[in-house]
Amino acid sequence: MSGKPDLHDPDLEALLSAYLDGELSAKERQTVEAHLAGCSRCRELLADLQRVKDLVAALPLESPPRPVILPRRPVRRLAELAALAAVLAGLFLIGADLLLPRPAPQPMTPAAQLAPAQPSGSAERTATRAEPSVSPGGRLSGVRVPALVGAGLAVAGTAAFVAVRFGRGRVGLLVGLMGLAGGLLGGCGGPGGQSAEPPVPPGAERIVAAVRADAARRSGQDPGRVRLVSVEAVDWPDTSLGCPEQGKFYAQVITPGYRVVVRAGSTDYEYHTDRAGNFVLCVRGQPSAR
Amino acid sequence: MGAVDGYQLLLERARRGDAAAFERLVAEYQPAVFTFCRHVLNDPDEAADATQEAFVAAWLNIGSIRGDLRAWLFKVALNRCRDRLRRLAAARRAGPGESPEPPNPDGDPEEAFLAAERQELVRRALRELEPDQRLAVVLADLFGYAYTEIAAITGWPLGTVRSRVHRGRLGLRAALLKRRE
Repeated sequence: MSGKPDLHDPDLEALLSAYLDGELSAKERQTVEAHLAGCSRCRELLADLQRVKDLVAALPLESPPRPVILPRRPVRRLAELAALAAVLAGLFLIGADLLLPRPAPQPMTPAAQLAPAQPSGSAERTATRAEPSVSPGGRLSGVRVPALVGAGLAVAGTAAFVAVRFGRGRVGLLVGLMGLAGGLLGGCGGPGGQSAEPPVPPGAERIVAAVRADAARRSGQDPGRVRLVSVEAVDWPDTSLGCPEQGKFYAQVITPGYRVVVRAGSTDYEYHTDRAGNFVLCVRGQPSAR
Repeated sequence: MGAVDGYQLLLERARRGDAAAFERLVAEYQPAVFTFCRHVLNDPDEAADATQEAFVAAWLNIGSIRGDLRAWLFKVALNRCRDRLRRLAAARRAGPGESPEPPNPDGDPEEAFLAAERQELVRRALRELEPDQRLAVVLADLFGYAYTEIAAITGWPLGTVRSRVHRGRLGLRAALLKRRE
């Protein structure tokens, strides 16, 4: 390094660093270069400034004594909690639906309770129902709806959690939507809802077979294509089997039997039966008229 | 160029909420931000806190960061450092306290040109500068920013940047010459 600078022109001296850094205008640069050509002190100062610049530039970067710790972003944390809540809700639905006992059959309708008299005897009347029915046990098409929705929720929640936690947004979104769609399709009785028929209670095989054959005959379907949707043991409050015909009277005798729902094509048929083999096709609480 | 593209890619991923990408950016820029804060604050603990705060601010505002991430980090870190300097100044006024890392007058000029010693000598000379001049020199020479970028980070007018860089270098030169004598 040189000794103290003894510049003749302080204004030009002030430009030397900017000259070194290439931060002068063309005119300023020419002025400085013209001065440097005739001023050895300024040339020495310029060389010193370059050395100082190089010394600072050579300083190594340092590592902090403790690493940076990032907080979880609030939105991310909320998203993770929501995803976990969806997973837990889904698992709860599955567990509750599969483990808890099914509810008891619904009581008779007021109209049925008010209709005492003889058994309807021949209750073979045809009717079709335009809409599928959900039985009291929470089954639709033989599949437990909450379990399917729960499975969809669990899959969607897991995918969302993975997406948020590991930053795989598109994959998580795709899997999550697939899970939700699967759950909803299953819940609505779509393709995801197809499954095996429910078990038939011991002793009800014959009456279920008779009901199935009756539904096949009425719908024109092959008996093998009539599917059992649900079958429940029911104690009917009288001999109308919970399906009184208006104007008739029925004996007030507790009558054990079954509520059987079968599906032929896209139509569900709900039969009320006793245990002796009698049954009635019941539409909106009344025997269906041909 | 590839590295720059890589950082831009990481920044894009971080903007979409990819924490792992941002952690890689932290690992990349942490030494620069810490070193910058240390030069501004002259205190490693305070510098580490300011560094932490700068990265937290970046993470929480990642969506609004435009342009060069490092310059953005420096700007935020500088604000944090200035807050800390104000608090430290107030604390010093309230009671006698030790100035962190006081300049050591017992430097050995013969060993000063050995690499490690020379660096320590330069650091000490830097610490003797006026804070604004030190900031200007660190941004210009250690991190290689152009004057317009320094103006954007510090909020100073361009003429002020120019004069502070020059005075800072002159001050460093004088301090180094003094130690050499």
